[in-house]
Amino acid sequence: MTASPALDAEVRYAGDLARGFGGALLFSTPLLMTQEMWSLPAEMAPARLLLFVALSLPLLYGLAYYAGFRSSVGVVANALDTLAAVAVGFILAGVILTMFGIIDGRGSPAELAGQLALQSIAGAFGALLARRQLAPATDDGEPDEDADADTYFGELFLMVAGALFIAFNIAPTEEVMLIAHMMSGWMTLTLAVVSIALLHVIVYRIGLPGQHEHDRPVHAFFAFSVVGYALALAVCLYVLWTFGRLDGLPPHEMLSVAMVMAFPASIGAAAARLLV
Amino acid sequence: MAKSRQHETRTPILEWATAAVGLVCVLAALGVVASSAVQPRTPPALDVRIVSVATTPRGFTAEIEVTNSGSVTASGVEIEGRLGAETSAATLDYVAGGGRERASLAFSADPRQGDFDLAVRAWTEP
Repeated sequence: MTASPALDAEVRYAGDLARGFGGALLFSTPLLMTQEMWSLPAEMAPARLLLFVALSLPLLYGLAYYAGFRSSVGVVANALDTLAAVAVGFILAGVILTMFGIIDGRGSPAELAGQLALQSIAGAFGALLARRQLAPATDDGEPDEDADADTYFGELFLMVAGALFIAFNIAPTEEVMLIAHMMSGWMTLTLAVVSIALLHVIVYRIGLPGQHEHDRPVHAFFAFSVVGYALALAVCLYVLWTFGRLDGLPPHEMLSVAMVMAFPASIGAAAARLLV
Repeated sequence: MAKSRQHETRTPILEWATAAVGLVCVLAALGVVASSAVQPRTPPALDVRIVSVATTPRGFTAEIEVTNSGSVTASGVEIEGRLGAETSAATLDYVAGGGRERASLAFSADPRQGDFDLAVRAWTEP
């Protein structure tokens, strides 16, 4: 159909990129429409914002390795995909926030940069998950060249990515703090136990596609579910700290807020292993 | 396939170590929250003090810190500063039990000099 193989490759890449935009749109719209995400970049410590963006890049690279918006192999290809996904996130955030009238040219350049950088991470997440979520099952009949997350640390990585994605969506909102303040210590502990149980049940007991067969449930519980919850809790603490939500709180309150957020984050961790 | 592979390979020591670290982290986190849960609940006990005063083109800004020595979180905490006839007020969304929050009050004169009164006026429980 197309004249040359080179042009064919360009057209195919354009198609993959378009799907990346679709994924970014799907995943970042909730955050683009969250009020705190417009004001937080101006309020949060610049060093924490920079650290968050810097730590997100290797994580996005990992997603490009395990999923990605196109079927690609190799360090260079995955690095290019990571940067392309960030570009998609930036462009989408810029266009949509301008369309909403949130970027109106009156904010400071630092504020604008912060808003776009923060939003672009969520968009890049979506772009890199696009192929898994939006591609037709047969994907041009190409063999699936993604790395299998079948190693132990590969699985842990995916749990971190899933927890981070959900935590990122929820941390900016006021409700996490409100819920944590309304719950008693015992209710929070119950929630933590329920979170661990859910994480375990979603991955090992419910018949979702991608379910991992394990003939050693006790091993699976401690090596995956408990570690997964610990990682989700750590991710929640980190994201809450990034957004300045932990400032001035005593340790048990920090953990209570993190445990409230770890409830959806651990579900995200479980889902990531099933989705990617 | 997965089954045969698991029978052939032993669980790596690193995997056990990671699991152990994860278990310790989760139990420690639960322990900290549990130890605060067994403490008797005390109502918010709020105190406020000036941390610093900065000079601005339009006067002075006092940075104040509210501490809550009770175990219950206070929300909608109203702080009022009076300097002579001038009053300045701020509302904090939350001051967690055992936690602290900061706010700023603006005045036309230096609050460190003169008749300055700083108080927490009202709050609710969330």
